[in-house]
Amino acid sequence: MSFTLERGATLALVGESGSGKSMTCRSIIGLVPKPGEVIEGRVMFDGRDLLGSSRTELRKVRGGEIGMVFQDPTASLNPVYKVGNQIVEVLRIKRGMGTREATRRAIELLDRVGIASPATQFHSYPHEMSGGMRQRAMIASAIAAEPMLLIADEPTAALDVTVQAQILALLTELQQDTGMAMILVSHDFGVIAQHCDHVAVMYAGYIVEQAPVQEIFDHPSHPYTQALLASIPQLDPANRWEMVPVRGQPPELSKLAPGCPFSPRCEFVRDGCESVPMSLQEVGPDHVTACPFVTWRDRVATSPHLRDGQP
Amino acid sequence: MVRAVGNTLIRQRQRGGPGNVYRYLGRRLLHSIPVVVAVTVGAFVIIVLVPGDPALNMLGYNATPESLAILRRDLGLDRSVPEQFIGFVRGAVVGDFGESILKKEPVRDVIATRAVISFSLLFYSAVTAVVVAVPLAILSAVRRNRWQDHLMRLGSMITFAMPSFWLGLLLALFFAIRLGWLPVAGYDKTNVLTILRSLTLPAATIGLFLAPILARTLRSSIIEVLDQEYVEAARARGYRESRVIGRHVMRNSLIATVTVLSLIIGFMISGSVIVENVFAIPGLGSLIVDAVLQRDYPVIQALVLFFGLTVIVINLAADLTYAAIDPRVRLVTG
Repeated sequence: MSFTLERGATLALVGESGSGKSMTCRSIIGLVPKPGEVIEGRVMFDGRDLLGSSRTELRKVRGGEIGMVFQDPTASLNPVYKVGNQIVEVLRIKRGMGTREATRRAIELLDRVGIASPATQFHSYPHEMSGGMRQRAMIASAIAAEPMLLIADEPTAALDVTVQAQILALLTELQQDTGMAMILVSHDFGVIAQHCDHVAVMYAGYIVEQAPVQEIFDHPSHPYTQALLASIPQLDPANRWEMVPVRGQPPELSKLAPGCPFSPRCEFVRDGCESVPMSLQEVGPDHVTACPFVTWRDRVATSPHLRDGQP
Repeated sequence: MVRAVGNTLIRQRQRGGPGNVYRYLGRRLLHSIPVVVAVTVGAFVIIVLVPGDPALNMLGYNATPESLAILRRDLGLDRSVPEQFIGFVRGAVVGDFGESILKKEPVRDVIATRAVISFSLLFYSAVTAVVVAVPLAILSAVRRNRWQDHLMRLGSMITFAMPSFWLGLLLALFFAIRLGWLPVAGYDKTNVLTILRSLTLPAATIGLFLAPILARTLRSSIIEVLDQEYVEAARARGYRESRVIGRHVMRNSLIATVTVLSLIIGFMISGSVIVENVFAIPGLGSLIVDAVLQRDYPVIQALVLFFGLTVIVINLAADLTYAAIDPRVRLVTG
């Protein structure tokens, strides 16, 4: 798999659970849980290969130039330390600040991520905050060292629906202010349409399609992308198609057959699917897909989900 | 601006934390009242339930009726049971348990001198156990299922399976007799150094006996904490592994350790009876053995009460430690 991300841009990683989105994020900063490991490849960041970096260098990058926000802020903040002190810790270690300066900066950061009365909340423990507040605090700790890249691994998955939009808006706003790049893991195409520039669709550990966000919505090319888009429920009565769930289950990654991993669930499966290489080929402007058989123009004409010119 | 921030910080600190802790402490103290009552009744009942006549038991069958009568009066055995109980409680409150039959001294003084020695030994043992167990537990948890882990688990099984008197004798044989580094037995109270030297072997004996229990509990709670996402998050912030373990894992793993430590204190007290006798340390352990053998009832009663209260105090301390380690504990019970 391969993707590039420009400074200030946002890349979305989409896919079902277990398609390797989180693992991709973790492998960027070298935190793949044992016994897993990155077998080969390169992670080029700001002109350096992170995979080839020493542990010390990697440690410098983590939490420094690359910040990370996790799915569940309840689990990812340490329950026994005050929220403010967890941010102070980042500032002291990654920015070398003194306690007093770090405290002042942490309060500014809490204020920046939209926590009301930040000086008071500085002394709250994670369990004394609401889920949305916790995620804001988590974001504050991730941007504390002013990273060039923020990896947000489903940052709203564990939150209340009403809070989700606020958190995403905050991330976009911070990004515009600081010019940092962002990798946003999500399975919500609505979120992606609003907040991302590029989309990489993942399936079974592969990127099966990658394109600018408008291009993906206009011309989804891989059958999996089409199936995902077709599975979104629509509320607009004037512009509605029937929601079609993707049939079957994602494969077990340890038992992958050769060829296209999506073929067992694919509407368009045909001879040769079992031996296609999972390499990406260009099908449109800045648009690549792993399915070698049909270009998007053919696909729109034949897809049962996407007839009548939808979407 | 900065000053305003500072003021808010201080106000918050006064309003938030400590009040909660006091309420928590108050509740814990209330909870221990029934236990104190039960222990007091238990300590008193010993003398009532003793088969036969305590006075006769103490003085033997050759005692004259006069001396028996005097002893009964001294012990208050000529009064009714409720009267005796009130007398016992009244004395216990001010720390007056009468006079030791054996030593002809106030029980309070006998216990006080020896309690200092025993508590020093217990503290020394606990420190030894922690110093041995914590690094082993960390190593074993971090190298889970590798040879370091297997070695630790095998080793802990072996030391735990050894009876403490035998472990004590082995240690004495090696460090005192073979190497001559430490005294074989006895308690030399000349100065702090000699006291430390006298207590080292007994403390090592108790400590090595306890370390496996501690190490195993701590190992499993470290492993549990290592799987938490906040540990991953700490790594993602680029902290050194030593910091991740030392700051983010250990504090969360300590609760289990404190629980085990407080539970085995009772165990340690009974363990120290044997060890104090093996090493001839004049502590509470050897006192209670003498008192039981010589039927020194006032001393036995006072010791039972004293041990009971000690365990209660230690449990209270453990509860407070929980609250200090994990702020969520204050919330749940506060």
